[in-house]
This record gives sequence, structure tokens and C-alpha cells, in this order.
Amino acid sequence: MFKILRLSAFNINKSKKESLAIAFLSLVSVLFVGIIVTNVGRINTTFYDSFKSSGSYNTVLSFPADKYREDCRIILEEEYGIEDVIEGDALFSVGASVIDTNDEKYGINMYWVTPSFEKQIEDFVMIESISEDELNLIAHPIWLPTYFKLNRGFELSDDFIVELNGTEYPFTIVGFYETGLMAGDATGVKCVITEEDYLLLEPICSRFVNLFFDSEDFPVSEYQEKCDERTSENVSTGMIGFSEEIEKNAETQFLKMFISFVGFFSVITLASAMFLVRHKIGNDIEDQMQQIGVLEALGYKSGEISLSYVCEYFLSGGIGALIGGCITYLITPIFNNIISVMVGRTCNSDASIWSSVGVTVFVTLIIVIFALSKAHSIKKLPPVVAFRKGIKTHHFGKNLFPLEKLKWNINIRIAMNDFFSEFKSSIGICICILISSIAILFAISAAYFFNDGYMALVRFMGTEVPEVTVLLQDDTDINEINAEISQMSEVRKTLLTYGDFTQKIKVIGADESGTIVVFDDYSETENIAVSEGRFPEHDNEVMISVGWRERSGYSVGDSITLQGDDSTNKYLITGIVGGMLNGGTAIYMNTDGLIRLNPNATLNNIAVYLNDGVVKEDFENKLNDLYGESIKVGSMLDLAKGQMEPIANVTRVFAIVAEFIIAGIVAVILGIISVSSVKRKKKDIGIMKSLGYSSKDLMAQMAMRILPPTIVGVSIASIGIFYIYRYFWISTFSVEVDAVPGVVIVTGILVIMFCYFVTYISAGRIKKISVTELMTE
Amino acid sequence: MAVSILKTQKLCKSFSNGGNMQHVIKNLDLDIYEGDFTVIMGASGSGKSTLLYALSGMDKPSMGKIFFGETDISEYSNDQLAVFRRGNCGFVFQSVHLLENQTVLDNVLTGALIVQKNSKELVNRAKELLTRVGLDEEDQKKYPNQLSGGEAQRVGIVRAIINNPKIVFADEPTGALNSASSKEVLDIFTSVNKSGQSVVMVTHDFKTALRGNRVIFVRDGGIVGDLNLGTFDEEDTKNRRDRLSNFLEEMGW
Repeated sequence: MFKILRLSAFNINKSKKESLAIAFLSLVSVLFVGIIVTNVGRINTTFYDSFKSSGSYNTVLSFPADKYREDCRIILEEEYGIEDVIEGDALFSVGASVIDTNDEKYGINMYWVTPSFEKQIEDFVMIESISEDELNLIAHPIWLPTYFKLNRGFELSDDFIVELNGTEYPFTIVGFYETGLMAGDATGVKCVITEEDYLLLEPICSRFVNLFFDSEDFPVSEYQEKCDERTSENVSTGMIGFSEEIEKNAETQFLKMFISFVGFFSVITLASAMFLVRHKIGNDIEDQMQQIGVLEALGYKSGEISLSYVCEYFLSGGIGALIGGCITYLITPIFNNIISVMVGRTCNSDASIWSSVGVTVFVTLIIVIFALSKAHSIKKLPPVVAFRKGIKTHHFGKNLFPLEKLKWNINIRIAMNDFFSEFKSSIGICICILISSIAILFAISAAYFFNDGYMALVRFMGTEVPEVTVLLQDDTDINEINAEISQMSEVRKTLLTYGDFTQKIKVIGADESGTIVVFDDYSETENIAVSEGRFPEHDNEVMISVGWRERSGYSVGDSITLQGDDSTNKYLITGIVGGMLNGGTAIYMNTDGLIRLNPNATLNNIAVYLNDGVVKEDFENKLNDLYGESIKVGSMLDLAKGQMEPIANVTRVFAIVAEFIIAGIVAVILGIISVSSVKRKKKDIGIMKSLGYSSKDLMAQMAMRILPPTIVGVSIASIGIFYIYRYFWISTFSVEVDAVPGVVIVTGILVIMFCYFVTYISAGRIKKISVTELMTE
Repeated sequence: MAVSILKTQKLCKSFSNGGNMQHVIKNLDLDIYEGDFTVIMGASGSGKSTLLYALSGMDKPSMGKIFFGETDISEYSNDQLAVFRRGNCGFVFQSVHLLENQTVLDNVLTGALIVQKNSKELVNRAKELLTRVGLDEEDQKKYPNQLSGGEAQRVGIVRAIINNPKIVFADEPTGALNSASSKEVLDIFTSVNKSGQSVVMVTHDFKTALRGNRVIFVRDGGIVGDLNLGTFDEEDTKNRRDRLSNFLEEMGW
């Protein structure tokens, strides 16, 4: 064993830079993989721990109060055997504006409940609250879910101002509590207010009747059918069902997207490290062939020699992995904090040392296995063959590019000759560049996409996101108000629509509900882009979002059956729209289509697009002053900002950081390849120098030699990224986002240039090689 | 009157060896004349190869000057020296040092194409020279590891002279060859010299040294003897042999 360690130490000492590079790649691999392994589980654990400690029921069915019938609760007891059902009221505000700690306004869907109902549906566990004495002095106390503290930065005793219909309602925060359902901005946040304040808000909010109970995999669609059947009414229209799983998926959706980004990069890094190990060990064996022969002649077994190589990588890779493991362990609390902030729930679990240890061992093991598989080739080298530098037979290879037919620059020709004579290694470089280029192109495309911050995601909402929405609250003639608003100087244009995108519709035969989107003339819309087919033109036509196509297999030309208030109607699918609205569940129709489904429905919402420079708040105040309680003014844009801004910013920063990390990895790999090539070709370089080739000529040859595999790798990556990028967005958000060709082409060219210059600069070691090394004395 | 093609003034070359400076060439003044076949002799470690590499622009002197004609090349950068070597010098090593992954013809052309554009004339000249040294068309397609030592050295010589350099340097070119191969190789050098090119050759070998018209003896980094042997003539071997023998005896060889 001592002999083996001595040989390994000798090799490490001889190639310090390469050993450092492998240690660095192992470190980064462990760091990335560690972040994934430690945190993927922690996201779920954080959610489930918080949910459990809240003592909440795990399912809620919310009915618009006018739709709810007693039978809906009875069905739960009679048909599903669920007897422990809590029934109670909650108020609901779509896109309520909250003024945050930075005095910025953002939109959020809010549920309002009283303390007595809250105590019925969960334990109302406070993580922080003011004293009873202090509470008695406060006029409008509010108890908020931990989301507002962790994600939005509110503190106890802060003012909490909510703007509803243009009127500000100030509250004082008296406590933060753990909550199960209705805990984040994706599903709506449940706030607890006093009975008096509840009565105050009741006229300006929608009232919902909620049924809370415990059930595993409650079949919502089936239940809706049973409700409609039993009541002979369409009571399930507008019903919203949440479960623990839906809540978890909604709250963790963006975080998982972020983690999948990191996961993607961890695979790239690990693959790069493995490639470098294989490449370097192959080169080492070739370089040290004669030394291997000598060692074998001295009595070392080939197994011992190959083990010394493996041991070398075990040491260099293992040290890097160990440092990576320690860093992973140390930064786990930071990630706990990030998860806690992003999910909006307290993260109680401590950093586990075992996951860091596990990842360290895993990465080291992978490196050892790769090293072992390559070092195994030493066993096939008898001493005589090793003495002859592995040449078993004379070289009778065909001269593919004889110099006598040279048409280009001699340096290019020599580089091409090297490329073909080391074709196997070139394939390895090509694969390495291909993988790295995909990562870089992905990161650049993502960073470019998020360049506009949350507005990038807004563009893929799959519905209109005007600055202001005006929802009619009574029987006022919408056309009359629309005519007035559209003439206002602040207004660029208006569009009539229906509902507030919380209107659910039952799709017969599907596992999920649809979200109705209605516009009369889709050609006037700015954010609804048909990716396939055309807009609906007749009352029996609809478009569907990509989510329906991906999850339920619908396509253009198919029929989809929707259940309206009084009837069930078939619609022809005329188009597909990329959009993430409500998880990609949107169904688009025109007014006639809506009336066919629900004869009593009328357009009740005006989407108002403002001119540049108009202050939205001023315009909202103007509308409230003009129309009072007959309208409810909201902003889809504020709502989208509240939900999407944090993740858009985090993802953009990560994508930019990832670009640099991957570029660094590529530089390290190419640098090592270049340095080891210079070492290996030391004699040839000396000969060429003696013939009058300058260091710059030889450095250019070295750099040009990696151009063919680089160009092939980058080209394949540039084509592949369109599919990968598109697939990523479809599978995560049901939207069709394409990589921008210009960005891909420019990035591809930059990657090729980067690879060329990194190799060129790394080959600078050539300058130190002197012809005198060929001297005999 | 002989025209100096290479001239050194107070040439010094030192190497650092584990922190200790080793002065290999010390204040050496030397003229190499156009058309001469100069042989440098000396014991192992005397500095003869170091001198050869400095003269040929393969290595930079530590101090002193080297003039190629009127041009001072001692201050040239490495890349300037590379450009200088291209057109002016050819070099033949003891271990030949052919590029293993190139054929015989390509090895020769690699040296030529850094200086000249590819042309039929150039390829024909390379083939002709190879044929003249006994390497036929089939041999020209071979790779270095398919050649004998003598054949490989002949390729090395053709590679050195393909650009018609003004001066050809050779570092123990026959050191690894048997006597028959040595003679063939030396005949080529003689013929190169007769065609007007200067030759500077380092050797340990008495028979090889006989080919020169001038023999310089180096000891401890300085020139201690300089013998004018006159132009090589097969008929006059005995006389040359005696004179060289006496010279070397004087030098303590």
C-alpha cells in the first residue's frame, strides 16, 4: 500500500495544476449535487412540517356563497364517509393591493376569516404575537400567516395596509401564525381579522362557503358531478378545491424550478469532472508509458501501478469533494433560509451532516470508478510494449492530408493532422463542449428571458395583463362605462372580458377544472398568442392552453365538453395558446361561446390599457371617485408582480452566476487539456521550434486543434437547445418559450471564440519550451 | 579574404543549477566563415553543444553578442529568433527528432512550408533531395518508426537543407549510427558544403572531424585550439589524419 501511495504522491506532485483542477471540479460537483440532495427533500419537509404544526385539515372546498347548497356537505358525509367537516364563511378578494414594507404596492389574492372560524379549521399556532394587553389597545388587529413575515418582511406591530376598491384599510399586525391551506400567494393567503372588521369588509368582497375536512386524494371532479346531480343545479361552477398536495405544489413550484436549474448544472459539472479524469488518466498513461514499463520491469504488478493512478484521483478528487462537502454543510442554513423565504414557512430542520457526507462519498466514488475503468488499461501493457511507448505494431496509418497537397495555412494543416491523429480524445472534447455549451446556452437564454424581470413571465401568462381591470359589481351597462373609460385621455385602449380568471369550469372527462378566459376579439389582445391553430370565431369554438395538450392530450380539431350552468356543450378546439394561467388550465372562448355555456352570463370586466407615463394609482383613484361601489378596480399586473418578481430576480441572478461557473469549468478543462497536450508534445514542439515555428504559431496550432470538436459540439448544442429549452418550459409551466435564435447564434460564436482563446492562452507554456531540451550534452 | 557569416563577441552562457550558476560558455570570441565546414570538438561537458545552440539562434546567450553577418541577433526575442532560423539556419540533431506522426516527405515539407508557399517546385525539390540521399518514393511515404537510424538521419539532413539555409548546424549527427551509415551521412554533409553552404558540426568522432576544413577545440567554455585542415579530399586522408591527430594530442584529447 505504501508503494502505491508513494507513486500516487509522485504523480500528484508532478501534475499539481491538473490535480488542483480535478479537486476544483469535485468541489463544485459536490456543492451543486449537495445543494440538490440537501434541499429537494427539505422543500417538502419544510412544507409538511409547517403544515403539520398548523393542525390544519388537509382539504378545503370553497363554494361561492350563492352557489352553495346544504347537500354539498351531506354528500361528503353520505357518499365519502367524511363526518368531521367544518363549514364556515370566508371572504375573498381577488388581487387585493398590499402596501409592502418598502411602500410598494403589489397584488395578492386574500381570504379573510374570523378568529373563531380559524380556530375551528386549524390550531391557530402563533410563532410570534403581541401580548393580550397590547392587543386590547389596537383598533384593527390582523393575524397573518408566516408567509408575510418570511417572504414579505413584515414584522409584529407593523402597519398592514390593504387597498380594496380604491379604499385603504389599515390594520396592525398582532401575530404571525402557522397555517396549512391558503398560505401563499399562489393559492391566496388567509388572514384573520376581528368579527367587526370582517363585517366591514363583507360588502366589498366575495363571500365563499368553505368545507374543511381530512381526506386522502379527494376526487374533486367526481364530487362536483355528484353535487350537480344531487341538487339538479350547477352548484359546482366556481367551486375551488385545495388540498395539501395542491398547496404544496403551488407554493414550491417556482422554488423547484430554481432547484431544477441547479440540478441541470450539477449534472454538467459532474460530467465535466468525469471527462477530465478520463482524459487526464489516459494522457498520463500515454506519457508515462516508459516509466510504467520500468516499474513493471522492477517488479511492480500492473494492478499496483493502475491502483496508484486510481489512488491519485481518489486523493485529489476526494480532497476537493471533502472541501465541497464541508462547504455544503456550512451553507445549508443559508439555503434553509432561502427555502423558508421562498415557501413562506418556517424551516425547523437543522443541517444534516449525513447528506453532505453522502454526496461527498458519492462524488468521490464516481471519480474512483471512472479512474479505475481507465487505469485498467495498464493491465494490458506488458513491460516490452510499455518500453516501446505502447506501440505494438508499426504505424501504417493512411496520411489523410499529405502536405504536398496543402492549400491552406501550414498551421491549420498541422492542427488538423493532430486533430485526426487524436480523434478519440477529440470526441471526448466534443462531448464535453457539447454539454457545457448546452448549459451556457440554457443559462444565457434564461438570463435573457428574465432580463425584463417578472414581466418576462407576465408575457407568458396566457391572458391579458392590463395595468387596470374594472370589474362591474352591479347591473350597470358595461358598454356605457367602457365607452366613457375608453375616451379618457389616460387610456390607450380597453377590452371587454369576463370574470377575474378565478372562474372555474368543469371539463367532462378531465381530472382538472378549466379557467374561463373570454374576449370578443382576440386579435385585439396583446398577451394571448396562438402557437397552433387560430382564434375562436364561432360560439362552438374554443382555444385551450398548452397544459391541456400536454397533460390531457387534446389537440386542434378535437372536441372538448364543458359543463355550463344549465347545459353541457361540446366545443371544437381551434387553437392552442401557451400560457401559465392557473397552471395552464385556461380555456378561451368568445362572448357567444360563453353565452352558449351560460345563457345568463354577460361580460363584466373591462381591461384598461394605460398610456405611457400615466400613474396607475392616480387613474385607479379617478375611477373609484367616478363610479364608486358599482365597480371594483384591480390590477392583474400588481398580482403578477407580487407572485413572480422574487423568483424572476433569483432565477436571473442564478442564471448569470451559472454562466460564469460553467465558463470557468470549460476554461479549467480546456486549460488542462491544453497544458497536458503541451507536456505530451514537448519534444514535437521543440522540433518545430528548431525548424523556425514561433511560439505563437505553435499556440495557434494548439488552439486550432480544438476548433473542430468545439464547432461540432457548439453547433449540436445550438440546435439542441431549442428543443431542450422549449421542453423545459412546457414541462414546468405549460408555456411554449423558445430560445431566441439571435441570442443562441451570438452565444455559440462567443463560446467558440472563448474556447479558442482559453486554449491559446493556456498553451502559453509553449513559450517556456526551449529547443535546447533536444540537446545531447 | 574569408567573409565572416557568424561572429561572437564575449559570448557567455550560464545555467542555473539548483541555485548555483553554472557558467558553460565564458567570454568566447569566434568567427564562422562563409563556405567553411567547421567542426567543434571537446570533451563531454566542455560546452560545445551549448555553443552550437547559441550560434544557431536556438538559445539566447546570457551575455555577449552574436552577429549574423552584420545583424546582432543576441537581443532577439524567442519569436524573432524563430523567424531568423527559418530562412538562415538548418539543424541536424544526433537523435534526428523527426515528427513521429508525419511521413518522411511531410517531415521535410513541414520545415519548408513555414518559409515558402506550397508549390510543385518545392515538392519536387523535397522529393529530389530525398531521392538523392537514397530515399525513393516508397520510402518517402513511410513514417519515422519504419526507418533505420541512417535513413532517419538522412531525412533529418534533407529537412535541414530544404530551405537552402546559409548555414547548417549539426549536433553529433553520426553519434547513433553504424560506420556505414555514418559515411553515407557525412558524404551528404560534404556535398552540402561543396554546394556552397556553411556547415558547423559538433562531434566526438575523429573520422567525422576529418570532414571539416576547420577544427575548433573547446574546453571549459572557451576555445583552446583552432586548426585549419583545408578542404576535405578523399585522396589526402592520411595527411589530414596526422595533422588532426597531432592537434588533438596537443589538446589533451
